[in-house]
This record gives sequence, structure tokens and C-alpha cells, in this order.
Amino acid sequence: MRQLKNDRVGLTWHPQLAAAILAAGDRIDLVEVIPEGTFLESPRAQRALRRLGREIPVAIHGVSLGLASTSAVDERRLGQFARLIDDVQPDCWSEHLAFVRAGGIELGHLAAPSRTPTTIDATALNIDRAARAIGAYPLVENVATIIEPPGSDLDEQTWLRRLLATSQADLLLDLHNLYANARNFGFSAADALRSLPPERIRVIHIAGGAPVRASTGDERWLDDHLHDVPDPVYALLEIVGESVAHAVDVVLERDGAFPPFGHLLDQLDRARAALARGRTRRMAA
Amino acid sequence: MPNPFDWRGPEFLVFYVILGVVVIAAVAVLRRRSEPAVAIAGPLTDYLKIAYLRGGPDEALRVATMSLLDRGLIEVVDQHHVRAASAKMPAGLQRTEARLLETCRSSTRASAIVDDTSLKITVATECEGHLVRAGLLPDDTVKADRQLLLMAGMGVLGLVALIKIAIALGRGRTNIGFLIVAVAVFGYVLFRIASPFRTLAGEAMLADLRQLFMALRHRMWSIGTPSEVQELALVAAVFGISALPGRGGISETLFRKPQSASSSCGSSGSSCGSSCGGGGCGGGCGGCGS
Repeated sequence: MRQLKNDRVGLTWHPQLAAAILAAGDRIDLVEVIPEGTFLESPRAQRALRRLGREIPVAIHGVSLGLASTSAVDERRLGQFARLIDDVQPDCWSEHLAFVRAGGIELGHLAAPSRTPTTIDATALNIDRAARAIGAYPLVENVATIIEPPGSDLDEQTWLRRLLATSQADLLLDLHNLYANARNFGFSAADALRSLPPERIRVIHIAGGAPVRASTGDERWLDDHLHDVPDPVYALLEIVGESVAHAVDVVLERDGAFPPFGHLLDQLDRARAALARGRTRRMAA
Repeated sequence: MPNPFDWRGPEFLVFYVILGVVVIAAVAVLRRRSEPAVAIAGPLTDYLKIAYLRGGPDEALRVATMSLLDRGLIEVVDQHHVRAASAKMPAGLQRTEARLLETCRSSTRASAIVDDTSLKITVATECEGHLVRAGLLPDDTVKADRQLLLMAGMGVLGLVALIKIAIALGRGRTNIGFLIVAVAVFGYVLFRIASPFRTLAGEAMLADLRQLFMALRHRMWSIGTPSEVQELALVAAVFGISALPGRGGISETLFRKPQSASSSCGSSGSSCGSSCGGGGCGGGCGGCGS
């Protein structure tokens, strides 16, 4: 990943937002592109993405590799990623700490892995495979879950810390995922954030979600990317600004139910302000 | 080896058509090889230059007019006329926008904006040099190369046709009409192939923009707040003003040119003039006969 001089704030690329993103280039520092579905498969779309990359910094964010699996990551998919990343030359690339297929079945979902020493080793192995194929380590993202992964021996933060200690991959910290898991399983998101190694946090995701009712009758917080970023996530972003010494990228994830674009820009401004407050506190300390 | 010039008319025509296709393909391939496919820089966010790249000065003026309308700087008088919404000239306008706004001080027919030579010169001055320097429109070197290819292709096809016509006439045959038509058709196609408005890089730029903006139409319904007029202008620049949402069909009717009663309505005469103004004179004028 390129070393940043300043914090940057951007959002996820969606074709529906394309003109708005380009028109508001002075308020958006980067875009994060999910390559699956278009850019990975179509050479024409890939060329368009290369063009976009000349206009605004681009980060590639995968959703299909399934790094956090005891199965080896698919070489064919890695090859596609390698070609795309070589062609587009993004600022960085990232993937989720999730498994997305098992026994030949595509889950269609970013499933949290069992948190065990075995999955730590297997995930680190997959990250190494990906880094060898692509020529750069991915940033790895913590995922949200509404159920505790069955068969887990470790809590999420311990699993994450041990993985980071085992692997050379740095962290894409999704604050809304952290917030959702904290809410769903009753721990402090702020304490969990402070327990992570700040020097390994490179990119931040912020997003919104909504409560859903589980079959047990319990309420769960769903990371749906369809709602505004809740206030506690901005508070977590302040903590990031305070605890992380180097510059970071902050990406707003919004995947549907798009409000007027100005509203999304306002959320980017709020993120900038939250990060700046954290930076100010760090300077004062 | 058979001499094609000795072939009878139909056989020679088949030969000539094959020759024409081969020459056109060769010109197309040579042109593609001679032009850079990558732009030096792209006007990815400048709606006026994108519109100019897509459709030249007329299209740039159409999109600029719609953008000024969206920004509330000009207003619709009726389905064909617009005028400036205020006497004040706002700051930060592009040169073409400012000139267009001046033109609309009084009620102006929108189609006349597109036909206004001085406005066309203004928008060309503002956009063309930039697009040429970026490699998106042909510069003098590219134009000269294209001219050479065109002349070579036309030379081959014309020479072969001339020789055959001379031989045919010398032998007392006058059935050369189809060959003359074939020369004209191939000449036209060759001209279009050898001298497109944009360079390869320009074509690629437009294709990339269409690809990037592909799904925008699904969001069009939610665009339209004052903060999003730049977004609307970009959509219009890439896809044309017909892609703009709503407006009660104004984008379709605003730029229609007036049609004279005599030319468009046949025998229906002057009393039919106004009812045929919308351009749909095919059947509409029938009702005006007495």
C-alpha cells in the first residue's frame, strides 16, 4: 500500500453514482471499487476503470476470494485479480476475512470464520498465496456477523490480533462491522478498537445498518450499507484519529437506497471532521 | 491469369465490390494503426468538452443550454423558446455559457442557439484545442495521414473504375450505371471510414465514459436537486439530452427547428403552419385541407 501523507476520505464506487462522484471530485479523495460483477470480467470495463484511476485514486476491494477459509483460495480468481491490479495499478487492494464458499457451494455471503488457531493459520496461508499471485499483500477487513461463528475458541479481537501477528497483511478496519458485532454480542466497540495494533490499521470503512429480528426473537444489528452512518461509528472514527499515528483512508460504504448525493457528501464531511477531532486530541496529548 | 477488365458487367461488378470491401478494410486497419489509442489527458469531468467530443459544437450548445436551464439561469418561454432568467451575469461561468446567456437576453428560439455561428465559434475555441491537444480529436498530422489514406483508397477504386469504363465504352457498351453507383457508394463509405470526427483515443474515451456511467439512468429519478446539476450535465454530455429525466418532454421539443409551411406541409398551405410546427407533418397536415 502506498504511504499516505494526509488522511483521505472517499466512498465506494457505484455506476449509479458515477457522474456525481466525478462532478464532486474536489470533495472526494478516493473511490473504492468492488471489481466482481463488472471490472474483473470485462476488458472494456477494466479499461474504463483504468481511466477512472487516472482521474481519482482507486482502491480495489474484493468480495469473492474467501481468504478466511481452510480451503486454498481459488487460483483462477487470484489470476483475475492479479491481471486487474496490474492493469489498473490501484493505491491498494483489500479482501474480507470471511469465507464465501464451502464444499463447492457459493454462500453468496461474507461468512465469519470459526475463530480458532487453525483458521488463523489457514487464513495467513491464503493471504500469502494471494500476495504471491498479485505481488502485494492485501489489506484484510474484519467482517460483521449476526451469529457467533460456530466452533470458535477465540473472541473476535484475539483472533484478529493473532492473525495480524502471523501475517504481513495490514488491517482494513470496518468500524460499522465492529460496531454491529459489539452491539450484537455485548462488548465495547471502543475497547475492542483500542485493543487492535494501531500501526497495522491502514484503511477505515464506515457504513450504516439497521436492526433486524432474529428467529430467537432477539434483535440484531445488520450491516446493510443502506442507511446513514450512525453517530457511534463517527465516535469510533475519532478514536482512530487519536490512536493511529499515520495517515489513513476512510471509505464510506453505501450500496443502495441512495439518498441525494449531497447527503452522502455531508457524511464524508462528518467523517473528515471526526477524524480531525481525533487528530487534534492526539496532538494535544 | 484472367484479366478482370475483360470480364462481363456482372462478373466485374462482383470483383469491384470485393475490391471495394478490401480497400475499405485496409484503410480502416491502416488508420487504426496510425492513430494513438490512448489520450494524453481526458476531460472526464468537463461536461462541455465531453459533449463537444460526442457531437461537435451543435451538441455542446444543446447540452450547455440544458445545463443553464437546470441551473435556473435561463428559463423556458414555450416549447421552442428560452430566455435568461435574470439580467445579471453570474460568476464562474464557462465562456460558452456566458455567451449563450447573453444570446438569451431576450426570448430566443432554442434551435437558433444551435445554429448561431458565433456561438459555434466560441464553443469550438473553448473545447476543440483542448480536445486536439489531448489526442481525442485529430490534429493536423492525423488529418494529413487520414487524407493520404483517403486519397490512396479513392485512387485505387477510381482508377480501376475508370479503366473499366474506358474499356467498356471503347467496346461500345454503355451499361456502366451500376459501376458508377458502386464508385459513389464506396467513395462515401471510404470517406466516413477514413475521416471520423474523433480519433481512436476519442472513441475510447467516450466508450469508457459510457461504461462508467452505464447504470446512471437507473438513478435519474432521484437526481435533480440544485446541488446535482453538474451531475445532470455530465449525463447529458455522455448520453445526450434525451437521457435527462422529466421536464415534460422539453428536451425532445426544445431544439426542433421551425419548418416552413411550403416545404413541410405540401399543399396544406399557410393556414396549416402553426399546427405543423412540431415537426410531425407526416399525417398532421392532412387534417388542414379544406
